[in-house]
Amino acid sequence: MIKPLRMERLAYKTIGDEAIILDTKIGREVHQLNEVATVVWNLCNGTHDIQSMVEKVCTEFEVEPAVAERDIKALLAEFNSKSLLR
Amino acid sequence: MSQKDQFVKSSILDGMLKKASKACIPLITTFEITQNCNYKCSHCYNFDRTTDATNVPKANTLRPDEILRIIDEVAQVGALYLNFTGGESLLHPHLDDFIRRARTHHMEARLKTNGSLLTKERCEKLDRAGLAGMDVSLYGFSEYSYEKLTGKSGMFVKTIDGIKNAIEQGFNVSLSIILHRYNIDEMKLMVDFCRENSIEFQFSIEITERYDNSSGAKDFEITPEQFKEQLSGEFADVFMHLNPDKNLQCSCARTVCGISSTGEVFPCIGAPIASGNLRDKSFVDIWKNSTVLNKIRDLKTSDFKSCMTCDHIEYCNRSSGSIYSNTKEYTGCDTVTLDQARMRHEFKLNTV
Repeated sequence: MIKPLRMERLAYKTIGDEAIILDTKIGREVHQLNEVATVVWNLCNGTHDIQSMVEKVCTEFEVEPAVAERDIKALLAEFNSKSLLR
Repeated sequence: MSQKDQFVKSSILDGMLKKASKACIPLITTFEITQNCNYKCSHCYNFDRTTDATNVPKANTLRPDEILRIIDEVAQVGALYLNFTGGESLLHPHLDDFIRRARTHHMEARLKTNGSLLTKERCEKLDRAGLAGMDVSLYGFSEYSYEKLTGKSGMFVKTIDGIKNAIEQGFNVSLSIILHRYNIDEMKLMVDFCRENSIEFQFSIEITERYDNSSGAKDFEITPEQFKEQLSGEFADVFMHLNPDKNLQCSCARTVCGISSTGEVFPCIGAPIASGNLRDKSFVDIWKNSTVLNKIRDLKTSDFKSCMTCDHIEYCNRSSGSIYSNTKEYTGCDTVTLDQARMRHEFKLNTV
């Protein structure tokens, strides 16, 4: 069971409902996440698998589990493509 | 050291800064961890370093355990960037511990440094501790101008080597080019160096009175004649600041914050207005409840009375912190700010 974990090098902060991620040294990029992505990002601490993320997202937003799962997988793939996860 | 931050440039960060400004979150916090320095700069805003006893730590300097506790508290209030400054930040024996602590809170740890102590070995250690980047002050582009300003010989080469070592280590390096009356002719050399090495840079022409009220800091400030000459020079855009929206307020006490080596909280490291001491109260308490900080947050444009009647406001780039350092009036004006705004205005009128 994959439990996503954020890269150690990143700096990040949630302001209001949105997170900002600084990837200064390697990616040299700044990322901004919307409300849902921020919830998922904050769950990427190595203790939540995708199912657990789906449950959490479904309790916070009005969304069907199947849709949430699809979106979370897409989001994690994007995080991975930007080397934000270990 | 430069008192301005230049690494916040992306439009995303700009948007977050606006949000943080509304909510008063000190996203960019600068922490002076020591007043010790290996230079003897006469223009230093801390105190007169030209005398011999400049490296004696203040008796009431924060202890390492206090600094670690304050880093925790700053993170709690929402800081994203934590800049360690001095003095010379690299002289603090526990700097790497402070960087590591900042990283446990997912803050971006950065340094403000003169760069002369950045050996390859030191850069490797800083990297391992989790440092992301640094803002290096550049005081000229020759041993002559360096020695003239820093009071030490051999520092120009050491600084350039240090900058190269930091880049090689992969740090995000930016330079603050401190312009003074003895290096202004080297401006092109400094810019060429930055461009050749793809280094971001900014200029600073501000030299303020010292925080200890001793005299002599402004002896190196560029002269009015030099300023005027630069308005039509190759780097005129650095000197020709336009302010068509008549902006007077900055990020003090909203998205930026300063902490002195004795634990005093300032609205900005460049605005040394004592707002509460971290030995008496927590950072959270001071940041939220300080009368001084809240007064600055509540300032209205109409509170800048002399600016309201000034003919040169659209050419002014006033810094409330510098003006406070020079006059003790945060919403006031000082001679140099006014003169430079007037010269810009006159230059513009004469060239239209």
